[in-house]
Amino acid sequence: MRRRAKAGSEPGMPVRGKSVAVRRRASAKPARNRRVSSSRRDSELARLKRERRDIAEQQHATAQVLQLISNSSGDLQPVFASILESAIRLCDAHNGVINRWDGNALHLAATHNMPEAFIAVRKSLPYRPDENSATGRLLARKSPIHIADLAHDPAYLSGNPSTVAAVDLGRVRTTLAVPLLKDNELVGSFTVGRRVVRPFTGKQIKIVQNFAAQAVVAIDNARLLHQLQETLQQQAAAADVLNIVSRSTYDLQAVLDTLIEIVARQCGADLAAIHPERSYFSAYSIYGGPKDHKEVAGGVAFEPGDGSVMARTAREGRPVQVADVLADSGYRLHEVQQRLGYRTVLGVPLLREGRPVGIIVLMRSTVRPFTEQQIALAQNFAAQAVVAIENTRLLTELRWRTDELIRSVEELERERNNKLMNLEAMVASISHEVRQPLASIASNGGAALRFLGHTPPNIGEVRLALNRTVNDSHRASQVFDNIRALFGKADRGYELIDVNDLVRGVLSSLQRELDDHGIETVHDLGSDLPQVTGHRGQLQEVLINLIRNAIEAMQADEGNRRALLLRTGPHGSNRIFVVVQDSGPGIDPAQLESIFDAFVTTKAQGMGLGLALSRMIIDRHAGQLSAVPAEPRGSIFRIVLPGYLASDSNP
Amino acid sequence: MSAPGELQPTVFIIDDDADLREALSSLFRSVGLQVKALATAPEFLQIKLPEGPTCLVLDVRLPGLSGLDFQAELTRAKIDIPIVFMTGHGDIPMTVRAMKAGAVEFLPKPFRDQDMLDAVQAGLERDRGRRKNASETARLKASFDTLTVREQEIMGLVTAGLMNKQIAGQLGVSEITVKVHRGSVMRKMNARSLADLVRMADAVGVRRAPA
Repeated sequence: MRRRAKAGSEPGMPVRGKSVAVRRRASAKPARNRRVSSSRRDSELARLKRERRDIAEQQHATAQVLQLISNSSGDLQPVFASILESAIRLCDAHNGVINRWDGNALHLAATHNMPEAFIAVRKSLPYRPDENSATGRLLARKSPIHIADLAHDPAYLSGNPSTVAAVDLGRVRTTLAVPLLKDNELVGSFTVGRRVVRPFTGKQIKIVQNFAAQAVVAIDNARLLHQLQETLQQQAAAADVLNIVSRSTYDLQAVLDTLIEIVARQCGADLAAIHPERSYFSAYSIYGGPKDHKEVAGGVAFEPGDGSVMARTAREGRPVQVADVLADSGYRLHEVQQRLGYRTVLGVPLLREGRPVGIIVLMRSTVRPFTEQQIALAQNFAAQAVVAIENTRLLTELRWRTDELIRSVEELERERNNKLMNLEAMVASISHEVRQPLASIASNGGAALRFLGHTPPNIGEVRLALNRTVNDSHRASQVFDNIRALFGKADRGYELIDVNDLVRGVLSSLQRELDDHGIETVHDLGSDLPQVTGHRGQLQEVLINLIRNAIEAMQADEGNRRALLLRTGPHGSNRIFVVVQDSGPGIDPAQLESIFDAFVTTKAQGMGLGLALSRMIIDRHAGQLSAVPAEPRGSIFRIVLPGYLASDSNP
Repeated sequence: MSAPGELQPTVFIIDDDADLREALSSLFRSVGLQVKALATAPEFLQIKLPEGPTCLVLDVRLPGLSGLDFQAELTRAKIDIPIVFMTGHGDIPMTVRAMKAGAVEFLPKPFRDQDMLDAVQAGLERDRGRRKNASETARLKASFDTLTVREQEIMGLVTAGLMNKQIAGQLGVSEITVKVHRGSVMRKMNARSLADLVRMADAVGVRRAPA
């Protein structure tokens, strides 16, 4: 704004477009008017009038240019054309050129009245004027160059190509070149010329300088506008990225795929990739390049070093750019480079707590370094990528922990239910065990009373009934004794037991029962088994219980050969197993575990406390009781018990 | 306990607990009942049931086969014997199922001796009634068999509610003939009224559906 105000603050009144247009027509031939005037006063008047017209015209032109500048949407071409045309007209020149300077070469930005041949020559190659040429001198000094006759300039005489082109093709003789300066930095040149040798007046030079200043304002405006547009675009892109980051937190790959595409587009990269530090995240995203881009570049190791831009970026922890990898002697990824065909490479680290956890690699297939601004932009996106990665990690971890929590709560619940069910089963078993003798006692008592009431009383029957009553009450109290033994101190009454003896003892006590049911018994007892420490009575109960279960299972199964197999043997190191296998119909596999929890009892003499209590007994002996289906039919119940070690404390 | 001239009633016990078997046997013998105690259900199927009234005392839990399943098996085999169930841990659904299937009583262990005796007496009473019904039906069936084919036909039509005139029309005979046959039916069946005859027709299964 300041600059524009300065351009418009030339002497003279502000002029409205319409009145200026009238005056311009009136001042069509100022030079001739001057010669016609004879009287000094007249001539003075004419001069003043002319000056006023000139100023008015200049102001009009300035206003026009300013309007153009403010209306233009960043397109400098019409603005330059208008500025150049006005300057040439007002300074009575014939032709002119505006060049842009990019720090390296001059680029033709606008021409006026220059022949096609000249334009063609200038556009055919980057124009880097040497120091001798007029423009070269201008570039060096950053001050106006005024040459009365270019054809007599040493540059022309020495055959400087651009000067020769200007003179021979452009027919330029007198030339005036002023620098376009922005904050004292050269951004271009503004040249006007005459086809005849007639130097410019000081006023004319001043006018050209004025217009040059306007051209700088126009350039600056366009630059600002361009920057604004770019910023807006970047903001839109950033919003897109944030949207994606917040929307699909679980799909990191999708987020990074989108992100790399946006980064590549915004920074003008032809190929791009996000390389992950695999211990941190695994999504590898690419943009552009051949079909096998991912395979070709995916194998590049993420490790600090010097051989690749990625390695250098990982080492430095900040953006690293190589303008041309082919010109870089330390570069080693020749095969990847050949297959992907990039030249300029920029690496931007994804930093988490100062440590690179991934790298954005931006590539261009021609040598064209990324600007500071593009690098800053890529850094911005890198920061967002880190946020997305971190989000996903945190959410995944949160989800994992939640699942874990749910699992352990479920497990606890299951355990609690099992315990409750075991307790329930136990209570039911115990009450069943006690009810049986109690029912007998009541019946025997009733019988005794009635036999006493007979005439004469049947004393024999009474005695029998009372004897049975006494036995039944012993039986009931035995149930409680057994339970007390079970719940007493774990190793009370423990002794060293040879399981083979135990099995043989139980089998012989059940032999008659097995024979009665037509069950063929086979035993296969391992030799040299370690002894176990335990409660003999309880372990007997478990075996009896398992064998009775087997008998019951086979009894329901008419017609088939009934076989009971008992096996013992070593289980792993210093453990033994006892297997009870029947040939019954088998247990529904879905119920294999639940039979130990559910209400299952065998109803017979002795404890008969069921599988739930059997498992409890084995648990208390630090062993396991499990059930699996047998082949081709039947069930296998397996007891595993730890063997006794001499180092164990007293049995 | 048994009515004079009646056959000795018998109580069957099925329980795999020998102690309880003996106790129950003693209890039933103390009131003069004949007892047959068995350890398993299949044994029961192998013996011939006596002529006199019977009752079965059955444990719900049996090795291999539950008491309830055995009850169903008896029904399928058309063995009609009143059952008194015993259980160590009966639950309501189990009780309901047993009672619906016709059990006399469902006694949780330990039961009072008198409750067991009452239940068994009720079972025997029910069996007596069933036996009496069965013999009555047999007697009616015998009388029915003495009727001629035409008389049997007319008994069916009369008990279906048809008037003599209608029966005559249907059979193509005169109304007088129908009246004669009808009198003969009443006499041979020893029926006191038409209502009596309808009950008999139901018992022997000749009553036709009303037209």
